[in-house]
Formats: sequence, C-alpha cells, structure tokens
Amino acid sequence: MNTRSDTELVQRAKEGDAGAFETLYARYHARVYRLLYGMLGNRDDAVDLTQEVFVRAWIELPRLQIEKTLYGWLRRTAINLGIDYLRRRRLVQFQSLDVAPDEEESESFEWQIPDETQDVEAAVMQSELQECLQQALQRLSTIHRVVVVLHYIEEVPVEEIAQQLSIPVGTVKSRLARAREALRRQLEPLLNKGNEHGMH
Amino acid sequence: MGCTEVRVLLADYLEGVLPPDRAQQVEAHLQACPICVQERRALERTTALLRQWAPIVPSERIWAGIEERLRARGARRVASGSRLPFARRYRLVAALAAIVVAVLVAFFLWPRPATTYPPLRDSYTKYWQAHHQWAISGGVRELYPYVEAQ
Repeated sequence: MNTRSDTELVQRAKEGDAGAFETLYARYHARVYRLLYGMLGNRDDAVDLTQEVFVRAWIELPRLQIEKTLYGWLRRTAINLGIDYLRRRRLVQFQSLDVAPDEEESESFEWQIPDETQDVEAAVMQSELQECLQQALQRLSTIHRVVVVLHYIEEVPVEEIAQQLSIPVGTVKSRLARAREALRRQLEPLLNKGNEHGMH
Repeated sequence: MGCTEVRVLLADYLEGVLPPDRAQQVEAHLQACPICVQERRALERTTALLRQWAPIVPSERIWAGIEERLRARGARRVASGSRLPFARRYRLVAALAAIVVAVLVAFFLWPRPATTYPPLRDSYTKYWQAHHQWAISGGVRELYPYVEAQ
C-alpha cells in the first residue's frame, strides 16, 4: 500500500507524474462513488459523475490547494456535481416516504451478525445486508436520501449540508428525522434480529 | 422533559451537539424511561447499519472513462508510467497521420499524362485491319522511305 501523503502525491501529479494521480484515484474513488451512488440512487449516473470528479481533479491539479487530504476537495466537487445533477434532472421525489416497505421483501431478509471470517456464508450474509441497505436507501425520496447519505455516511455536519443545499438548518434536521423514521421502518427486520442476537 | 421532546433531541444528543444542560436533561430522562432507551438503541443501530453500506465499485470502468474523457478534452494523458503530456503526444500522432494522408492523396490525384490504353477487343481488330490497309496502300513507304531505297 502506498503510504505517501496526499500533499506529496498531489505535488508529484502536478509535475506530470500520472502514477501519483492513479494512487490518489485508488485511494478515494470508492468513497466518491459511494457518496454519489447514495445521493443519486443510480449506478450509471454515479459512475458518470465519479469520472467527472476525477477528470476535474486532474485538470485543476495545477491550481489545486489541499489542506490535509485530497478527499475534502473531491467530496465538495462530488456533492456540488450531485446537487446540480439532481436539480437539472428535477429528481425531486424518488419515492414517497409514506410508502410502506414491501412485506415480501422485508421478510426475505435474514439478519445475521457480520462475521469476520471470510467463508461463503459470511459473504452471503454481507451481500444480503448490503442489498437490504441499498433497498432501504433507494426507497427514500431524493431529498431525504441526500441528507442521510451526507450526514450519516459522509458525516457532513448539518450546518454544512444546509449551506450546500441552500436550505435552513431546521429543514435539514427535519428531513433527517423523517428519513431516520423511514429507514427504521424499513430496516426493522434487521434491527429486530440484531436485538435477538444481542447486537450493540 | 417529556418523551416527545427527548425523541426530537435524541439524534443531536447521540451526535454530541446538544448544549450541556439539554444533554443532561435528556440523560436524566433516559435513566428513567425504558421506552426512550429502546428508541435510542434503535437510532444507534440504524445509523450503525447505514455506515456499513458499501456498494460494489466498478473501479476499472470508472478509470477507463476518466482516461477517455481526458483524451477527448485533449488534456494530459493519465496512465501509469507515462509522463508525456497527452496533448503533445496527440499532436505528434495527428501530424504523422496528416503527412501519410497527404502523400496518399497526392499519389492518387496528381495529374498524369494521358495514357493510351489498348482498345477493347472489337475495336482492336478494327484498328489492326485499318493499320494493315494503310500499310499495304503505301503508308509504310510514306513513313519509312528508306525501306524502299534499300
């Protein structure tokens, strides 16, 4: 694993070392993709915008000033691109929060405590967990999913989200509360199983 | 502080962004209310689950697209081991390609002196018949008078 700091890698990339840029890509592209996939709820769009984020990073390299890590810049760019995209496409409502989770699908999930061992069973459990989380996020409306992904997955402070989305802090908080409630309903089978297994 | 108010503040409480006095009030309520404690656990588990979300990342597809876009925009090439700016390399290839095309065009389109091709089979026979007629009617003597002299 490459242990060079982002500052050093950015400097080398500025000097034309494409390998350094590739290392930065390897370091952060998964996080950028997850953020965009979470925001947009669509794989192809997430791939498209992730590519755009890194293309801009490469083009902006000569002017790029980073503090500690490049990820701050990448995240800001990704969020801006994601928000612009959603506004342009007017993806205001993906699916109503009031829609109850599909009973059949909810019951099909079987909660298992994620296992550290790499056996097949654990991989299947992990895959089911991921599928369940994915579906729960997909069922949120876009406006709720965006704040959930930014706050709970990317750990962006509420105030910063409000600024990025140009909405009051109170609105972000109320959206988070509604989203939490919806997620809780949808993840209930997992949460209950977690209780049975003494998950903390 | 009642259950309704505590539930509104619970998320902020868990994130540690409540003012100390409000946090203490929530804490005091939680010590006495098992239903709100359950609520807190559900909230903690929901957020913990969300943080485990890790979709499969199509890394190679993303990287291939980045290279393609940079190429399309004429930006510097991004590839391992390559330090030659893409634009310069692109210009070099384009210049070589233009030279090759120009040579080929010149070769095929350059005007040449008209070439007399052999006549087609029918007219070919007629041509030789006419030539023979011309030759035996004195054409050869007109053209090569020295032949007769010899």
